[in-house]
Amino acid sequence: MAHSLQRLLLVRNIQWTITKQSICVIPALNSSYNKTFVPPNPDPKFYKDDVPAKDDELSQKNIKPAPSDQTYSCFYDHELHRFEKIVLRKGNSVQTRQLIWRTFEEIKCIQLKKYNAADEDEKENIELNPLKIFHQALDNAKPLVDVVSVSKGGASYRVPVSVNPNQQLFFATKSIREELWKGKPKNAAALRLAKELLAAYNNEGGAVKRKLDLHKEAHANRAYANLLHG
Amino acid sequence: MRNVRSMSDFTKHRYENVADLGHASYIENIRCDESDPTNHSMDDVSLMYTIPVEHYKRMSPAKWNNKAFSHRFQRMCSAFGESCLMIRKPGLELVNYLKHTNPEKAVNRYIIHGKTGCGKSMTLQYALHYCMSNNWLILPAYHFWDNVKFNYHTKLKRKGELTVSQFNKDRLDQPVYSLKWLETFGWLNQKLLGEIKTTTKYIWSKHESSEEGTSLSALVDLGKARPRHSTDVIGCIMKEIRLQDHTTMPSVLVAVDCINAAFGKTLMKYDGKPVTTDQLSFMCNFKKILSNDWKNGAVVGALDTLGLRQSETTDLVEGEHPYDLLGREGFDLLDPHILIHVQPYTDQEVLAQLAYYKDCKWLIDRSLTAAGEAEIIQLCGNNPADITNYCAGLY
Repeated sequence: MAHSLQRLLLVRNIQWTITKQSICVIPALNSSYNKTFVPPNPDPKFYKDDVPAKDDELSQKNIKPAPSDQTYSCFYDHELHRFEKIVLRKGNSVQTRQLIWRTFEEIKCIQLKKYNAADEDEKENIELNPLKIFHQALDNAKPLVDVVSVSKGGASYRVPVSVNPNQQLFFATKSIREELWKGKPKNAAALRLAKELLAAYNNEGGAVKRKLDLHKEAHANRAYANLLHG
Repeated sequence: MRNVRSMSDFTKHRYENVADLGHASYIENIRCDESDPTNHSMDDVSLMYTIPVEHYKRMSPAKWNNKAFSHRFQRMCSAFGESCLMIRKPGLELVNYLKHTNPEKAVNRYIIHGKTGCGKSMTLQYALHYCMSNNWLILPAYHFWDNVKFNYHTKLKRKGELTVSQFNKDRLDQPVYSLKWLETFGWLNQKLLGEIKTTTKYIWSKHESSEEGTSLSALVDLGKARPRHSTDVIGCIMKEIRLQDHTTMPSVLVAVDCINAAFGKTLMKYDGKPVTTDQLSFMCNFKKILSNDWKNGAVVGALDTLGLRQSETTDLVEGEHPYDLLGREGFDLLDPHILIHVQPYTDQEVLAQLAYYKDCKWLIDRSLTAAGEAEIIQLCGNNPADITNYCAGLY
């Protein structure tokens, strides 16, 4: 079934070929590209400052189009964008957009109140940038290993495996998201998310606890690590 | 040299271009030292002045969910530890009119109009602050839509909201709303109310009455204690204001936000029938004080279009001219009036606003760069409310 579907898709897809080196915004499936195609770098600075030369490595290559949902705004952040798409519910991206703007507002309010109340020596340690807090919180919630269940000889084992950065980001956002949806809400969603992010920024809270639990399980089952390959 | 490796790590790209700062970060003169609106002049336009803490607490008390300022503005004030307003041209114009009021002649009516989010309510608050610092008596009505429609979630509350008036059987009282109004009125004019005395005797019921010469503060306390008579107390206060001269009464400011709500439709029902604004006794009393048959004071009203979209029953409005919003009835009642047009920010004022945000650390690194600043101005288009809303979640 899967093979026939793949064949159908290959026939129906038009194979986009890019003759010039340019930033193309046409969305297309990855399947239509050969292995010779190079992933894009949609950064205006990259194209303006580095002028293409004749002996350039890239002058011989074809380049994939840029992702359709990426913008050239200076406020664009890739990790934040991925976070938005994972928290999304029922395709209501306006709602999630508003949620994230409001959480950043809440974080700014909480940190500014701290900043104004603190002494002058402590003021340097307080982080006011919500984006930096967000990045630090995600980094603290990212796991180093993952655990997968494998059935072998009639019994299932929890086997520790390595993770790539994409999976790390997904696990961190998922654990923050489930903290957000947990239980009966007392406050607004933005305030809850802001508190969770600030807790993760200080290595506390539910999202960090999930990561530590996963690490514990992986450490306990480290004897099964060879089961995947054997 | 460009190679394949440079292309693959585009996900890690983060904006690091802090070297070229925008225009807003080069502005030095941000604040105005003078905190009293009486001493402001045209040289202080586009500067921020701080409202004193005592005045701000009186203007927007934290006890009740007061709508003098927007929710976002109040939250920002609590975060910054101070409350600042920008000095603007229409505000100075209005204050200049109020300075030259003649207490022996009929009141002037000023109507503030303009596009949504240009600062109509803020100019009204600026005028209110001027009057407060000069010991005027203030009759506040913030967010007049609340009087016309109740946004409660349950039906029971809405039913219990209306009662038949004690004074006139054809009219309806709103005890909860009038209690709130008395609280704000008493809070705003704490010092003045003890000195003002009534001229006639008022009888509330068989056993209760207030003699001639009782102070207004005693009347307000009676209204708070007895919700049944609270709407009638408001009527008495307004009657006293209209009767007395400048010898016994300080000059009065009637500050009404969303004035066009008084001439629209209501969302309320009583006995299964829709209620008009003329049936509400609070509205009837307020419409009398909006007319110019009394002396020693001024009426300032700000128009509003946001409430129209929320309500389902009102018809669509063609434009933003006062005649379109007030309708025939409202325009006739307020006929000789002075218009005050509030326009969006000038380019100088936009930069002053952004510079103030930078000074309070509300805006940090990316938004201070030339590219970030250009993006903010491009998206918001000199609209003050859009700038505050957009900068709220910015980094």
